[in-house]
Amino acid sequence: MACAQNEYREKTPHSTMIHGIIGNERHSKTTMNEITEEALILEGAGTDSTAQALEAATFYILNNPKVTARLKEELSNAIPDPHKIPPLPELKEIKYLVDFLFAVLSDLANFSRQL
Amino acid sequence: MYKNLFALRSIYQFEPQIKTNVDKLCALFKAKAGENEPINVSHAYRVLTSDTITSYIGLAPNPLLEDENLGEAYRKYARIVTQSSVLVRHFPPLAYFRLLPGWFVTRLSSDFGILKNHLDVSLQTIFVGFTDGISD
Repeated sequence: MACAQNEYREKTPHSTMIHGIIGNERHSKTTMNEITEEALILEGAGTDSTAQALEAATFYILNNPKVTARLKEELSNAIPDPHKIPPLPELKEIKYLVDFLFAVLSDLANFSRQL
Repeated sequence: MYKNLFALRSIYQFEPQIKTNVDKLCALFKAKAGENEPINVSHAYRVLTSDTITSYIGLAPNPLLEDENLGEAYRKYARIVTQSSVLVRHFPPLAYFRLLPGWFVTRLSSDFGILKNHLDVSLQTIFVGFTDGISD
C-alpha cells in the first residue's frame, strides 16, 4: 500500500484528495465506491462554482469601463511582461485585483442566497 | 479528508498545471478572435475548470480543452456526468448500472452510458497500483 502510494505521489507532485484518503488511517475502510462518489461530487462542485465566478468576473469587467481601466492599470504595473505571469503569492499582493475578486464572490453568494 | 485539498500549499504546488490550462484556453480565444464568431464563455470556462479540478483531485486527466467542440465536450463530460452521478447518489440501486455491459447501458440511457464510460476509463485508472486496503 505504502509503495503504491509513493508511486502515485511521484506521478502527481501535488497533494490530491486521493492522497488524503489513501494516506489516512481513519479512511482505511473507505470503499472504492465511496472514493468515487466523493471524487464525482468534488468534480461537479469545483467545475460549476469556479466557472460561475469566472463568468461573473467577465461580466463585471465588460460591463464597467472604470473597473476595466483600473484593473488594466494595476495589472500593467504589477506585470510589466505579460508573458511572465508572477506566481500566486505575488498575484495576491495586487490589492485591486484581490478586492475585485472578493467583490465578485460576495455578489455571487448574495445572489445565490436570494434564490 | 479535505485538509490538504484546500491548503494554500497544495494550490501553490498545482500552479504550473493551472497556468498550462489557462494558456490552452487563451490560445483557443486567440484562435477564435480572428473568426468573427462569438465564443460561449460559459462552456469555455466550465471546460477549463473541469480539466483543472479533475487533475487537482487526482483523477486521470481527460483534457477537454483539447476538444474542438467545447460545448459538446462540456455537455458530455461535465454536465451529464454531474447530473447522472447526483441521481445515483439519491437512488443508490442505480449504481448497479456499472455492472452491466457498456453497450446495454448506452441503449437504456445515453447519459448513463457516458457516466459508465467516465467511471470505467477516467476514474478506475487512479486506483491502479494501490487498490490494496480499498474494498469494492
